Amino acid sequence: MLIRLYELVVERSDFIFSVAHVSVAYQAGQRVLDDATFAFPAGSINGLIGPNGAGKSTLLRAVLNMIPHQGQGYLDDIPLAAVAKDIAYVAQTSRIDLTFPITVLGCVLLGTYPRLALLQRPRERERRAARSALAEVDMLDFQQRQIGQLSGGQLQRVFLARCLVQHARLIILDEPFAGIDAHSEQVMMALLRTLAHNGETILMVHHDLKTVPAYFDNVALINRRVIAAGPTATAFTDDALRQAYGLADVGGDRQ
Amino acid sequence: MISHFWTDLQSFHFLQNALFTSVTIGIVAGVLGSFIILRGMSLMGDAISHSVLPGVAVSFLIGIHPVLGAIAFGIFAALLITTIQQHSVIKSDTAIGITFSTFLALGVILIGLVHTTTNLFHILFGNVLAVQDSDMVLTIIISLIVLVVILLFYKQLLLTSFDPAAAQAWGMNVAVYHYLLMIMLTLVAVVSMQSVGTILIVALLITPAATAYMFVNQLHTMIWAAAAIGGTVSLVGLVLGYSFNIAGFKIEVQHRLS
Repeated sequence: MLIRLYELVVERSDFIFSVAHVSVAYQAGQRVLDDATFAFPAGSINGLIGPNGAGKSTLLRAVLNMIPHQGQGYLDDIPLAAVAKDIAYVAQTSRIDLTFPITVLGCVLLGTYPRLALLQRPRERERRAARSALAEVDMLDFQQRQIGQLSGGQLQRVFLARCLVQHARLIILDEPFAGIDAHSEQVMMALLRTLAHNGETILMVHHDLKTVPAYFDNVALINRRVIAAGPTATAFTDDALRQAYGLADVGGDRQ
Repeated sequence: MISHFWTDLQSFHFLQNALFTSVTIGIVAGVLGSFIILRGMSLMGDAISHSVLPGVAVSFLIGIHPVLGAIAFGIFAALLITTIQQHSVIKSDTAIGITFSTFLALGVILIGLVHTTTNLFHILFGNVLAVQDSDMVLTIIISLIVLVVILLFYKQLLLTSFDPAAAQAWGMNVAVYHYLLMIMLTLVAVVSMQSVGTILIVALLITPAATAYMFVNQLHTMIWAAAAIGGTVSLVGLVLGYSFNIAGFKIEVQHRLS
């Protein structure tokens, strides 16, 4: 235990984003996530990979302090709870109420809220930032549309624009590429690469195993616990996949 | 026939009170109701407005202003519903059903025991022509407070209604805004007791907002539309009820004039 803690301290001085000993139990004794620990360097795109029910979304919600948990995530040695405004988070879009009366522009403007004072409203400066973010994801023409009128890919691009206006240091996306068109996926990947190049750290849940080596600098393979974590070349191995997905699924189920 | 309403409005003070009070409540219920229906809390609105009843009875018993007791019971009901949901397998609609029927029954029993001059029927369904000056002033003050609070915290209410997950991730305390809405709901339910009644306030909370919801694509448009619809239907309801002697209006008028 002492040795592991020591290692973690060393790691944290080298890495910007780390997850340390995160465990989640929905009912007493029944752990859905056990002692997850890994760390990724700044300015990287990182994949959180694992089968359904592996605890990927649970891990994200735990490090974001949205559910009861043990352990925590750090950004440069600082607990994530203390730098919440520097974190952008997009939940699975199936959790979003698409009938809500909000326009594309209104949705992107929400990303300016963490930087506004308690009673301060977004003004022209924020609106300009939101419009230029929409232009970057190629969605400016849709700014007055209600969000329910968009396709899945367009909606994800709008939420990415919300991350852009926030100027976050850590961007956490839960399955942004689930069921979206190839064009949207390419637009988003290109933007994420630019963001990573500028020093922002990206962590996303991803399901398409075929694209993992091309998309991610690092991966964490999990199934209730961390199976492997590190640079994609060394961590994303057949052996690790077999452990995470079970023998039968590998190869056949690379969706 | 309807023209009588306007001539009577100029001569009768009680009719002026009825008009100002019901239109004010129509407006504030439309605004608050927009958030209630967007958060899927329509049933919660129903529950809270029913749950203030025992609070009113207890206030008579211990001699405090009915608003204080009603707020206490409204918040207690909201807490109870949330607690049942979180600590048992019972789902939200069931928790609401159990809580509000219990509170309503308790309220009916307590009001029976208290022997006040307050008529149970008037609390449940309101008695808009009996609105006193003090009731009207209280309604307007509380409505203004609710509207100002919504204006000040509009940004937070929008975010926590639309994307509570992002709000939580950004370190906001989402529960604070949930209970802020519950408190405002209780306040509106209490002041509307005299004019609309605790049973029917839910109609004003939900219907104008739901109507507006069908036609808008921005929250602030929905709120303005719901307020306009709520104010208008309150006015129309009062004019029609007065002009055509619906539901005891005539009896009440004669009683007031005698």
